[in-house]
Amino acid sequence: MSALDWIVLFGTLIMIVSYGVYKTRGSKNIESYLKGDNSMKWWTIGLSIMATQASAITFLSTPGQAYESGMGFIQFYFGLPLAMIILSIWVLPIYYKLKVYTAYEYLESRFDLKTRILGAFLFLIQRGLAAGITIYAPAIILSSILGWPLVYTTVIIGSLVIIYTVSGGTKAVSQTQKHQMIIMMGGMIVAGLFVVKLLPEDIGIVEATKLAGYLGKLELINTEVDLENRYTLWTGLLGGLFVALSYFGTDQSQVARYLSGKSLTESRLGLMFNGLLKIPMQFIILFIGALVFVFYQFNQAPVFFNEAAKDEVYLNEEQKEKYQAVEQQYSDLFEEKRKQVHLLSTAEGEEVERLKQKISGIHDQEEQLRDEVKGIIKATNEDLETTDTDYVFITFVMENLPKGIVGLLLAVIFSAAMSSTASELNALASTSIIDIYKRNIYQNGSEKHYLIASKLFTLFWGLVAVFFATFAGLLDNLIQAVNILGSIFYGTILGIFLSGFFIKYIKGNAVFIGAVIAQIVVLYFYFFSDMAYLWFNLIGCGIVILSGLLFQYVKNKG
Amino acid sequence: MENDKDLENNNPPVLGKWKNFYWLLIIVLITLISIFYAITRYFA
Repeated sequence: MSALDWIVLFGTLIMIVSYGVYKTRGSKNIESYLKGDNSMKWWTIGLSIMATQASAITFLSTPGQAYESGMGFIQFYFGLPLAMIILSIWVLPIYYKLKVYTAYEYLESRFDLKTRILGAFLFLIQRGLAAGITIYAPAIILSSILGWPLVYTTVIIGSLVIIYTVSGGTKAVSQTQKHQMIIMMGGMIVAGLFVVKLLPEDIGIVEATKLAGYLGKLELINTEVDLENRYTLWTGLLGGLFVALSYFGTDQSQVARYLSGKSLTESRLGLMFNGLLKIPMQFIILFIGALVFVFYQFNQAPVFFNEAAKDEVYLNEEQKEKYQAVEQQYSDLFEEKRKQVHLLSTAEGEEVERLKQKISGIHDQEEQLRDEVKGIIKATNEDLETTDTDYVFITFVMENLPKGIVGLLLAVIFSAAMSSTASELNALASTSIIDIYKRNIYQNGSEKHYLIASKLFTLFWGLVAVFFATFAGLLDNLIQAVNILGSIFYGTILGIFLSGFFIKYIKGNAVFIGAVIAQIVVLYFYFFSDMAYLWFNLIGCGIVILSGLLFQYVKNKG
Repeated sequence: MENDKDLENNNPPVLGKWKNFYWLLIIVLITLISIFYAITRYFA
């Protein structure tokens, strides 16, 4: 990295953080600290919602996904605009009417205190661990690319977030997210323009799009009814709706974003803004991935994108020789591929089909060579990761973009990591103070007391996240464990909220017993069955509602 | 915070000439899906 890149990277991050701290200094009470004095306009809310959802992995992983398997992932977001409408019509007015700080406060007014504590407690466990992963996942990739120890990247992301989140609370989170979002989208568009600029002279955006389409990267919609395919139009509309409803409606890190709105209308418009822009934003990120794929049809791609894994293989002489032999074959194939792809860019009629088949044959051979390399990596060290999708885009950036732009793109990734972590810390602190501390432990404190306690809780959760991220790599399969943990609790939380919003018949005791039963059943499935953990969401939610209905019926009869 | 009277008003949010933002969102969603479908079919 050049000096200019360092200046752009740290200049951008420090400016955003300093502005956020300066602009939001001097919160006098928790109303201001946790709800931002209800002063946010719709565009700040909208950008803040988008920035919370867009984690660093969005920018590292999504282009790689389009590079690898095309743009079909876009379908996952089709349910999101519908969820925004449902939440605006039915859920937002309830939260506003009750003037709640957290989503779980609603559970007390609708059901009872114990259900509120249960909801808050499940959220704290799940989100507390997930905040560590939000930092760890990009930190491990950035440390591998920059050649830094993991602890450096973790501490940089973590400490910058802690500074402004502790200092300015929710207002600082929203203010910084507005600027982070502008950097993120601006940086990605600049990256997209550079990919096109780096293509051969006779290949413009139209030819590149055509090539991406011919080579199967623009298969955006799959209308088949296929239960095993994760990304189809139908799973996107139905599954995406279900996921978006639970994430935006019951997860405090999102609920806090729109509860800081100036009015119900501003909050609704913020959600509409998200619904309107989310799909185009994901389209742009995926399309950049497809363009990077076209770029690597004319430029030699590494046989495996994670250089750190290659470096480790190179320490073993025997494996190094094998690796280099495969690299040579991969390089030989490339020349032939480049020639054919160039011909395809100007081909017409039947010639197109002939060339497509020929190139597809070369791609198959390339995949076989990549599989061989993955085998060599595994043979060198069983623990090395053989999926390199997350490294595709960042490798392209580091090796091909000019000085200054590399710094900007790294600022995009750091900003994304910081923006989602900030929302998580803020939400964890709000829930700890409002639902646990103020409601159950110490009810008669002064405004100042609760303000200081809120800041301390934010600091506490920030340190937990950094600590967890620093040591995450030492524990086997920890990320997967956290994902499983999330799925174990998420279904139950959603079941409680859906009962509250839409099934008036179910009352406090019934939903609480239903939730406890659902949690026990899900834990049983987790410990004593081989069921895929993604099903736990649906099972947990279904059992809460069904057993809630049953217990209410029995209670009413008795 | 909005006053209680405003909270009783459950009309869709208005922005500029868009009197009903919910329909705008649905129209945009259908349009995007149609464009994506057309792109997919074109290269199929």
